[in-house]
Amino acid sequence: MDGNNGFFTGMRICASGLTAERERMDVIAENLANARTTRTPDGGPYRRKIVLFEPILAEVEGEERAQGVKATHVGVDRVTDFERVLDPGHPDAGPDGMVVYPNVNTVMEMADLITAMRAYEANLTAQENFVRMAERALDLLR
Amino acid sequence: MVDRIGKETALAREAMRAAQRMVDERVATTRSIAGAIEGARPAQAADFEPVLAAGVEHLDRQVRSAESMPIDLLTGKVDDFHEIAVQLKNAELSFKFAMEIRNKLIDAYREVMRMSV
Amino acid sequence: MQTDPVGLMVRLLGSCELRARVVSANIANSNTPGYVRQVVRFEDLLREELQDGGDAVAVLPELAPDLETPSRPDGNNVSLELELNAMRENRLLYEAYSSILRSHFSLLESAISEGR
Repeated sequence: MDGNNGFFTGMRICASGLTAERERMDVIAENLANARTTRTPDGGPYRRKIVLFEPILAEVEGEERAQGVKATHVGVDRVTDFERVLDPGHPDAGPDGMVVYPNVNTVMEMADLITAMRAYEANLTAQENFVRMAERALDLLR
Repeated sequence: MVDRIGKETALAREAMRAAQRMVDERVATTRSIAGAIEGARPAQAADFEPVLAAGVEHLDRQVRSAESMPIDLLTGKVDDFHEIAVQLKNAELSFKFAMEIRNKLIDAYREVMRMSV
Repeated sequence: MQTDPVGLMVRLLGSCELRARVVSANIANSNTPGYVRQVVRFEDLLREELQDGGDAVAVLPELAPDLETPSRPDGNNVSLELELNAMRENRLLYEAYSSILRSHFSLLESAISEGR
C-alpha cells in the first residue's frame, strides 16, 4: 500500500526527522563525552563533530517538495578554535607549557541537545497524528 | 482558532443542506416509483423500464468501482483512506437503495396479485 | 449552484491530509539550515471562490512558502510551537469534516430505509 497514499508518505516524512535528530543527538553525545580529550589516536585534541541536515526533495505533481530530512554527513568543525590553557605540569602540555583542549563548548552542545530532543518529540507527535487521522477516515466505514 | 473552525463548519453546514436536498429528492423518487407501480396496468410497465434500467446501471458502476478498490489499494492507484471509505460507502448505500426498490416492487406485485382473481 | 456535498467533503479531507504532510515536512526540517516553512491554503480559497459566486469544483489546495516569518541566523524560519499548533488545528478540521460525512451517510441510510 505504498505509492500515493498520503498517510504513509506523511509517516515516512516524520520517520526521516526522527532518524536525523537521533543521529544529531549521537554526535552531540560523542562531543560531550570527549569534551576534555587532549590526546586522540591521531595525535592532538578531539575535534568537535557536526552533522549537516538537508531536506529530502522529491518531485510531486510537477513541483519539487521537501519530503523529509536527512543527516547527510558528519563533518568536523574546523572553524571553532581550540582552547589553550597554560598548564606546564599536564602530560599533554606542549614545549610552551600550553595544553590544547577540544573546541567543544559544553553549554552550546547541551543547548543543541535540547533542540534536537524537542524536534524529535515533535516528529513523534506528528507521526501519531497521521495514525489518528487514518483511524478517523476508516471510521467512515463503520 | 475556534472562530476559524466556526467558519469552516459554516461551509460544511451549507454542504449538509445540499445533502438534505439530495435526500429529499431520493425519497420523492422512491415514493413516485412505488406509487406508480401500485397503480400500474400491464401496458404501463414499459414506462418504468428506463427508470429501473438507469438505476441498475448506476448501481452496477458503483459496485464495480467498489470491487476494484482492493486492487487499486495494492497497486497504489487510490490515494487515500477517506476516498476509499467514501467510494465503498456510496456503493453500500446504492446497494441498499436498490434493495429497497426491489422490496417495494415485490410488495406492490403481491398487492396486485391479491387483487386480481 | 448545486454543490456535491460528498465531493466537497472529500476534497476538504484531502487538503487536510496534504496540510498534515506539509506541516510534518516543516517539523522534520525544523533544524535544517536555509529551510523556509511551507503552508497549505484551501479553505480560504474556497470561501473566496464561493463569495464571488464561483464554482467550488475549480478550487484546488495551494502550497506556498511562508516568506513573511523572519528567519533565524541559519536561514531557517520554522517554529516548532507554530507547527504543532497548526497540526492540532488541522486535525480538528479533519475530525469535523469526517463527522459531517458520517452524519450525511447515516442521514441517507435513514432515508433509504424509511417506511420500515
